[in-house]
Amino acid sequence: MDLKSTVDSAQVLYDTGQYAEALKVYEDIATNHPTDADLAYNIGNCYARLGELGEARLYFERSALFDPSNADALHNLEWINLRLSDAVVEPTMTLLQWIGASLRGIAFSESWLGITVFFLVVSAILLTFRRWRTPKINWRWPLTTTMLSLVFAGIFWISIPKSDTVIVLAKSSYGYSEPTSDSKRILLLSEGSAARLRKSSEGWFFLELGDGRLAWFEAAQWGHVLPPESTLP
Amino acid sequence: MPKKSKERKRVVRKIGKYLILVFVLIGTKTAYSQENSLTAKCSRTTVGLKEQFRVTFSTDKRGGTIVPPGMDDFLIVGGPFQSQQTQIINGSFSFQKEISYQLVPKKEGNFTIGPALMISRKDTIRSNTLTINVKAGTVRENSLSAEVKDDFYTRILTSKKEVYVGEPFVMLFRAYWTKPIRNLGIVQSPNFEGVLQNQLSLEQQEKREIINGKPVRYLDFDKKLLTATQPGTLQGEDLQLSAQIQVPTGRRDFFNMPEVTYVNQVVSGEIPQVIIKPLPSPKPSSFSGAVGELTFTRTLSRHSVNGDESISVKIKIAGSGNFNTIAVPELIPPEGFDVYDPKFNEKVTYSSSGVKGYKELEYLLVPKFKGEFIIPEMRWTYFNTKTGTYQEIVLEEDKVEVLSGPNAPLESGETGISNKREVNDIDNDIRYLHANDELHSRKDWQGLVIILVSIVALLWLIQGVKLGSKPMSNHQIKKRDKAIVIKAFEQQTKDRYGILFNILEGRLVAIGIDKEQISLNTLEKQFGKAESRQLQQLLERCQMAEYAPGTVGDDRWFIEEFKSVWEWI
Repeated sequence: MDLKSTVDSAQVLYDTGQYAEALKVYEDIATNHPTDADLAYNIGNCYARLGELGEARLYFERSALFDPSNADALHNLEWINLRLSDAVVEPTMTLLQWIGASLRGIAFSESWLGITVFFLVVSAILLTFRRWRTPKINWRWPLTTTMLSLVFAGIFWISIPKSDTVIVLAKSSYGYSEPTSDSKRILLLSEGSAARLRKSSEGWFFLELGDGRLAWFEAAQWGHVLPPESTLP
Repeated sequence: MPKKSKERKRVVRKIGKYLILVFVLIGTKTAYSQENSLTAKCSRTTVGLKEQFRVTFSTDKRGGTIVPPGMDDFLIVGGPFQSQQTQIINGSFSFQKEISYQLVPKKEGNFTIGPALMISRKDTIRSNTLTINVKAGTVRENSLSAEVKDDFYTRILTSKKEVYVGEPFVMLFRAYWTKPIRNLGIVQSPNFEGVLQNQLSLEQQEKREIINGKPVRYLDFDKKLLTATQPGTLQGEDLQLSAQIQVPTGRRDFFNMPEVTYVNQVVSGEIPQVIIKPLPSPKPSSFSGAVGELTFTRTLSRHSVNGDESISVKIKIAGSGNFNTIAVPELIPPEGFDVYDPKFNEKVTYSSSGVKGYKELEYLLVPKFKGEFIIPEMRWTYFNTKTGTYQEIVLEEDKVEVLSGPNAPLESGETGISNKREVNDIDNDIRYLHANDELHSRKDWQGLVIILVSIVALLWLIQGVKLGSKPMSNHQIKKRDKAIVIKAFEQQTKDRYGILFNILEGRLVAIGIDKEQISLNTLEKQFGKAESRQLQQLLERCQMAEYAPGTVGDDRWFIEEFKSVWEWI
């Protein structure tokens, strides 16, 4: 069965209310396409239908990360957040992340990459011709194209999705003072709460909440909005 | 000579006097040292129970410290009293230092008071030991002690004669006296066994009362709240107080005022009989040890909430009872809510009327779903001391309506996934699926960018041009060269003729005349007859002027000629 047929079958399952089966199909596809915004959105929908609001939020966040212009993902994210009535302050984006999201809203990272490659190729051609075929070519032309290529390379780099946000997938997750369950419990976050990952240590995440509070949490209860490098094909 | 001999005798006599004085002093000191000793003595060796006696440790050694022995079998009701005296009688020195204690035996028997120590820099001296025989009923009272026997006494008052295990009651400690007293002190506090004790605050104020027709002063000096932990009768060591009671001696002083003396007196207060009853058996399974007159309540901040609001649930035990051991039962986590760790509130006051107040657990519940939910019923049992029975309090179920939010979970047996919550909000649903026509795959194109950037950088490196070195136009070159020549002549440089020659020659090369072929014929072909001669002359004179400046014309001529030639060359 080709990819298109598989995707269609998942949609049929979803339409007939077989959300768990649809989810399984979508997740199988996602193993090879973990950075596809629409696929993440569809997985989020399945989880939302199944009432797994933590996972649903994770995938809607992921979809919005890869495609900030995805209005449906933003709508569904808002829908989820209304039902996750935790009082935890949401972590805010850094300036660079915000600029990156804005750039992705204009064009995908690949588009910025394409422009960069174009100008680099033009620069290479101009310089080659100037050196061996037509010395009369003014040096200002290759310099301009080279500078443009470097600017777009910077834009491309900024537009690459970056996120250190993690979401509670378990029913609740206790925050500890030390990376051990024997230490003092200092926080309790419910499903779907978000925090920023500061560091990790042997199955534990050291997280910062939106209001600046810090605590150690069991990593198994959390999921990364940006798929970890190790899970990518 | 006789004068010298006299003088010598006088000196010898003087030295002799000094030597005698030194020997006397040394001898005195030695004799004084030899008398050092430490002695222990007591006022009587056979004493009655609770009869006071005095123990004295004395030494005639100067310096050093007297360390008294342990006297655990006795109560120290007075002391240490210290005194020291120095006497010089007929040139003989005597010194004495004493430390004395006023003791009362704790129990009958033969007891030994160990040796005291006199510790100095040089040595340590031990005293003799004392053996005290304590016998009941052998109290010898002097006339004064017998006189004040009934003028000072103490009582322990209890708020309840019978209590249940866990039921708090109050003990009040009171001292009475009919004659003036001083130095009232607690020799021994009662040591209650099998009870929990809480100190109660007390304002110590002397009061008056008429007892048996006699005016009596009294002072409440201590107050404790006791909670019995085991059945039986309250037991422990008695209270013992000491005081000095003022007694008139019957004599009068110089001013005809009556003389008084103070008599040390130690009195005991017995622990009152309090019967501690066991709690009735069998105890209900839900009984957790709470005793008293208590209430158990649960209050909800609201019974109807929106999905994004929270509910506060307070579980409270209030009233009078053994709050120091009561634990508030925890809330059974209701379905459909996130339950946060409770906040514990407490306000307990210890007073003569017992322990009163409340203990409370405050939970925060956040609804997860829309619908009607139940906070489960709770049961709690305590022992009511007023009725003498166990009393169970049942808190009925509370219904909470959540007005908005996702629907409550359903078992989805068909899909094989249990305990999953179905989300189905018709009014404000999530958006539909996206079509996945083209799936985005992660492509690592960053390597391509790096390769391209490297290629471009390499191409820049092999361009071999300096940025800004644009080929100059013919006009620009002429302008530049003219400026160089004029500048050389203005500055009168030594090689100005050479510069002029080279620039002219370079110009000719630039227009296609080879350096080796510069001749009048060649120039005429290019420029014409008159111009060629002018140029030829200028070139020749430049060459001559390089070797003999000033012989072929002045610089003005060269400049004028150069400018003229430069116009058409």
